[in-house]
Amino acid sequence: MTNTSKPSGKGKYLRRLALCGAIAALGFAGAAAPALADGDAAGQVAMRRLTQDQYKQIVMDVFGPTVTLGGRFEPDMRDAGLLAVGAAQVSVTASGFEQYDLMARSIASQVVDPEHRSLLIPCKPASDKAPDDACAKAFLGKVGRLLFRRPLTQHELDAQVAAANAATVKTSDFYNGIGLALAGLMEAPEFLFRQERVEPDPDHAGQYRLDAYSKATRLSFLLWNAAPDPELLASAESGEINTASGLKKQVDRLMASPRLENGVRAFFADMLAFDGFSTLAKDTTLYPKFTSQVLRDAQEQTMRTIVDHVMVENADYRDLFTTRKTYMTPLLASIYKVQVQFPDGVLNPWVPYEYPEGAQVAGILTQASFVGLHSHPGRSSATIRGKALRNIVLCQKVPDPPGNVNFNLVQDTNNPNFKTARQRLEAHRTAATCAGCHKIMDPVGLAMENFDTIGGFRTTENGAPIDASGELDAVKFTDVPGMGKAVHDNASTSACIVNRVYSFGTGHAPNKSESQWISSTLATDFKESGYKYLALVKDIATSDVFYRAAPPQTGALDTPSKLASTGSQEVQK
Amino acid sequence: MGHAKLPGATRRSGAVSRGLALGAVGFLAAGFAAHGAQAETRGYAVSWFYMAAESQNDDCPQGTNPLSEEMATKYMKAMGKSDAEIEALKKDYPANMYGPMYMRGRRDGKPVNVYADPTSQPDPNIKTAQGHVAYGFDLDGKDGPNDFVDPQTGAKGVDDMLYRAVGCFITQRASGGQRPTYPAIQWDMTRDQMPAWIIEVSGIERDAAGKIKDGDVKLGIYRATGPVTRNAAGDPQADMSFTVDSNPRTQNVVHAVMKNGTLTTDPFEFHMIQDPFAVTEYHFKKTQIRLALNDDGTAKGVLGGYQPWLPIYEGFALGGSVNELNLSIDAPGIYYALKKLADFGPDASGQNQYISSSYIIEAVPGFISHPNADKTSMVSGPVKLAATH
Amino acid sequence: MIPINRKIDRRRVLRGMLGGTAVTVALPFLDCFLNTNGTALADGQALPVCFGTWFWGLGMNPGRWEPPTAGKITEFGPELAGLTPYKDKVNVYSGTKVILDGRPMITHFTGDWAVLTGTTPREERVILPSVDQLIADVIGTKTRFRSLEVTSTGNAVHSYSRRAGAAVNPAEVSPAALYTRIFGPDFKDPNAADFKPDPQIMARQSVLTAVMAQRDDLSKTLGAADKARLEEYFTSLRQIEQQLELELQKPAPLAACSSPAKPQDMVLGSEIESVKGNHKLFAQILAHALACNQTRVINVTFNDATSSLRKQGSSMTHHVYTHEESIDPQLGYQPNVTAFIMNISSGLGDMVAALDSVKEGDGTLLDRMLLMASTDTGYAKVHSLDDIPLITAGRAGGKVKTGLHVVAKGDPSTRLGLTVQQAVGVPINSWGTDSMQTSKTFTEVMA
Repeated sequence: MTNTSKPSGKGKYLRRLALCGAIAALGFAGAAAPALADGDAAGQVAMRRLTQDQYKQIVMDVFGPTVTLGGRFEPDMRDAGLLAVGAAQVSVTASGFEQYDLMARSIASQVVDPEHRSLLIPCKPASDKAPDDACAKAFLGKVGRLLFRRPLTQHELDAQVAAANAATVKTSDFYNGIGLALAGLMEAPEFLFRQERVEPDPDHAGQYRLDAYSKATRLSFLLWNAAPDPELLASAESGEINTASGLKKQVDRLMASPRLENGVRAFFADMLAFDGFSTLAKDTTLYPKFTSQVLRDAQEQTMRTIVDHVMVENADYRDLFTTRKTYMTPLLASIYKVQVQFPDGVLNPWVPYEYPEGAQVAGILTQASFVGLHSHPGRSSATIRGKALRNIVLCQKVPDPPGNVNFNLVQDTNNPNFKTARQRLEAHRTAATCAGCHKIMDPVGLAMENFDTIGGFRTTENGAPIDASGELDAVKFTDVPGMGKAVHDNASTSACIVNRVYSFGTGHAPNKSESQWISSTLATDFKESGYKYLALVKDIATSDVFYRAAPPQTGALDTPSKLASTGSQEVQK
Repeated sequence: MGHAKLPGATRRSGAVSRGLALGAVGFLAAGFAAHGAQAETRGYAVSWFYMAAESQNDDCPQGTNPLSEEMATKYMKAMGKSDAEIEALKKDYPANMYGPMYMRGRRDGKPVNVYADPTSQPDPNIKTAQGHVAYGFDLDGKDGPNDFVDPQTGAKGVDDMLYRAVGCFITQRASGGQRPTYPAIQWDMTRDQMPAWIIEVSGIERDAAGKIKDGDVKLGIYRATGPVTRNAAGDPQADMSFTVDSNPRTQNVVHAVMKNGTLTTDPFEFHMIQDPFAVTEYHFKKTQIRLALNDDGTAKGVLGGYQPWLPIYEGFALGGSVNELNLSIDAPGIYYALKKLADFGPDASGQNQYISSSYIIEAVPGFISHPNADKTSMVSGPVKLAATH
Repeated sequence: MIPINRKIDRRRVLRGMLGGTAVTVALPFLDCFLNTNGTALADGQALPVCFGTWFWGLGMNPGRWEPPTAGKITEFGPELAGLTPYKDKVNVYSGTKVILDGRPMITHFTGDWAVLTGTTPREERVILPSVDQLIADVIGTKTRFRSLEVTSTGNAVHSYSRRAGAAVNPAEVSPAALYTRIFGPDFKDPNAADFKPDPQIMARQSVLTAVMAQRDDLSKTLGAADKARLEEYFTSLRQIEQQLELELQKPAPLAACSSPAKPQDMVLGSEIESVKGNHKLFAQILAHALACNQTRVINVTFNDATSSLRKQGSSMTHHVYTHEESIDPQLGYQPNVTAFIMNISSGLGDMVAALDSVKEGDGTLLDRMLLMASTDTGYAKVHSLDDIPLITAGRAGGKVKTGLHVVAKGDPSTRLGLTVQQAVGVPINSWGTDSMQTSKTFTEVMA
């Protein structure tokens, strides 16, 4: 990652950052990096394991909502701030495979059961008890194209039909046979991994680009967090997607679809680390308001706030950290201790809500999804929150505390009752070994202390009044709206989202050439758009760089294509 | 987007705007220091409402009423069943006893449903409480031999004949701030479905230290449009928002006097709807309420008044023999006791129709809106997708 | 299983190992050990050696867990009191450490993985497999499950087992789910009289074979890193194939095998009482799974490295206590932290008890088991990597002597990892990287 020039006057702070080893992820729009021609930037291709949400989405898209999933998923892995990047590093463990196997067979048995088969299987076998090549081929070819996000090769299709036939013969049941073959498709690496393929770029000699199906797939997952729909696959098959106008047509179509909301939600759920909610626990003896419904509502509140803000209102992304507009459910309103009128007779109603001017909020940062997720089970944590803000919103890495730190230094046993978090952390921050990092985490985290570990509003802790003043990168503030404003104005805030959206789409942290293109072109465009999230996504989706690939390391480029229908070639990455 | 500009911040200054009565919570006390002169309104949701009991060791000198098995045995004997028959009925107790207990009444020698017709069995003369300690108020201005002393206030002449009637059933007894079992069950089983009872105290003033000043306040008790929600501990969630149901049968507004953080109302008539499992519709006369507003935002107090005794019996009888045999009460016995101990509102025959009674109120903080208030926040439904980006 | 072959001299082989000679032998070698130990079934087949790791977070208080003297254990320090009934069946290793070689100390990460993988991670990522998986590659290939991972904390990520690459092997969080996975409908009771191969399993085999057939085509289009990931995928696929193959064979009878009682659905989470309860259930189920030869390798997490254990009603987690609780001047330690440590120690006692409760011939399952208990830190209050408590239980089928306290002054903790691998038959004579590399086993405990 590069650390381009920063405005002067922050040298003192930067030295602290350097001391701490923190890395500012990116420069910001307008930085003095030399602008590169687009043609110089190219990233690597990725082999990404489907995330849980993507797997679920594909099953729903391909087989409909009445097919249910059994089993559990392997934990996703976070890298460079995103599960979408970690997905390019994980494989399938043995116990994970066991679960994929269970899920695939459970899904497949539903697809071929008498209730679903007439809808989902395009043909009827001559006999229910014997193999039927034509019908197996029709079904497996159709569903295989959707699952593999490309047509099956003749060789693959023949192998699948043979497997279905063998299974049919062993159990004397045609539907069981194609069901098991379908399960096999869903256990295949071509389904579980999004393996990208490259081909020489005819418009730029010596350079490479994703092949049409990989391009369609990257685009579809960026915008919808789902596999390409039949229309997008058709556009890949015809090669239309390789033309600028064809690509624009598809981008416009995908962005006009209501499914764009899925993509927006998926990106922000990933960036905001909402996967942490699956294991978030709070001490309900101390915080009886915290129920599983609150957990769901908290995530949905932030998602609604974001979708409303960046899609419906098409507002400045940075305002997400200052906005007073949000949505409430009865339980959330009780957590935040605000009065809301809810419609009668609606189960768990969602109601738009705007905090009054001057309210002690900082957009999504003071929602339970942030202050609650980044806390201990039984108490808030300014340090965890400060670190999360740096990592998640500003794309900065705060290192772990050093080893062999004697916390006795900061433990005055004669004065054991530090009442507020500020008092307790003050002690940490005066110890030389801790100061470097705590000074970049705590002052911003302490501004959120008006929110307890479940996001409940409070003005005192242990009877002592809470002081919510703080500092972010030399910008001082006295309360949490001031903190929100400081985050809004911080150059890293906009640089971070540009970086993250790009990484979300490509599955890797940008390399040097990509970073330069991002900071010179993407970030500038983003600024000029008024920091509009959708403009950023569209900018990426229609750019050449997004689909460009670094030259393959070694190659079988002269190998004739196996995908006869497109002429694309498989090469080593 | 219809973002309601609800005055969430103004509650800190104590102002009430656009008819929205704003509940405040304990932690806001500090905020009032600077605005001591302004009146504050606090909202609550009733978390518990149940017959009061502060049972004493000696207030049932002949012991408490028998447990259900003994009671059932006695009734079966009275119905002429043999010992062997009774032993058979007691197998898998109380499963086989529900039916015979139900039809233990006799009219013209034929079995009848005793709960629908309580005088179809003779008065069992249940044991009634004889003590002199009970929560409540001196409703008649007299301190008679049947009256109590309130354990909290020390007030004499307290009228609570309901406790005398039912106070020797073990499931009606409690002390030290505990909730008596049967009344607690009655509330607990109904509160998830019935619209919440909500309380609003307005006109509260505070001194510079944030302490509630003595003086006049206004108490409103209403029914909300929706029920309470339970939290992770199974208790009603605090700080929920409620809307007042405009039904006139559930509107109660009364002047009260605040002293040392506890308000006491003038006498008034109290109307409220609950549930047939307890009392379908309360109608107390000469009602008084005292309510302590606690620093942690909760409130607890006592309601006392005269209420018709027949609906109280109906609440006990509704569960029939299931209630009798599982909670050791004697429904027809309660009928006779209530009738005998009723102490107010005689009909033409001279039979009193009302009985003095005291109930405990417990409440958690909540926000209360009145139906005529700004409803712009009630735009609901999924997030719309913009037509253009 | 391989029939007894008494012609190989076990002692001679051992001497070879201890002398540090390269010992490269194939699997049958392992079986010869077991059989000479005399624990054999009526049909002459030996009961296999089993291995497990048992992880707990946040170490123990220095000076309060070690037995007071080196050599034969007569008593434990107060914090290992939970093991007292088994003092003849366990070993305690004190004085080992994790050496950073100038790498960052990633708190609650470096220590745990350095002990378990033999390498101090350079960043918050682990690239080498953990010791249990190295062992599973050798002894876990002939069972339904190559290894079984569980965690008592309710969080599947709290697993201290991983193959090469990035992700941990997800741990089972629910005892009820683990029960169903092992003893549910797919369980083939080795003692059942009748056996009929299931045609559906044969059908599934043919489908998986078709998936496997794509392997070469796919792999040649990939770069090295992705190729390795794909290889791991196919290794996992092979395990399922193997599992199916085993399900088509009549299993050998096992006298000590029985299904445990099906546990109720429990409350999952990091509250200490539910952690203890779930751990106890896991211990029972895993002991039965080992006795029934469903797996030979288990991994148990009692609590995570950054311990999220807490008491109901307390706002403080075990981890927060380690840093923020004052040392009680009278007691000389942090009382709340120590209360969690005592719970952990009694949890380890529960695990050992479960293994020891399965009677096999004259002995117990624990005799052919080797359980390695490790943690992430020595003294958690200061994130120390010195004197990390290490414990083993069981005799690995006679390969390990027990009842001993080994004092290793400042040696890398990898000595234990090497010792356990050799004890269960992994053919290596050196393990670990950089300063953590060692070719010294704890010879004191090698039988």
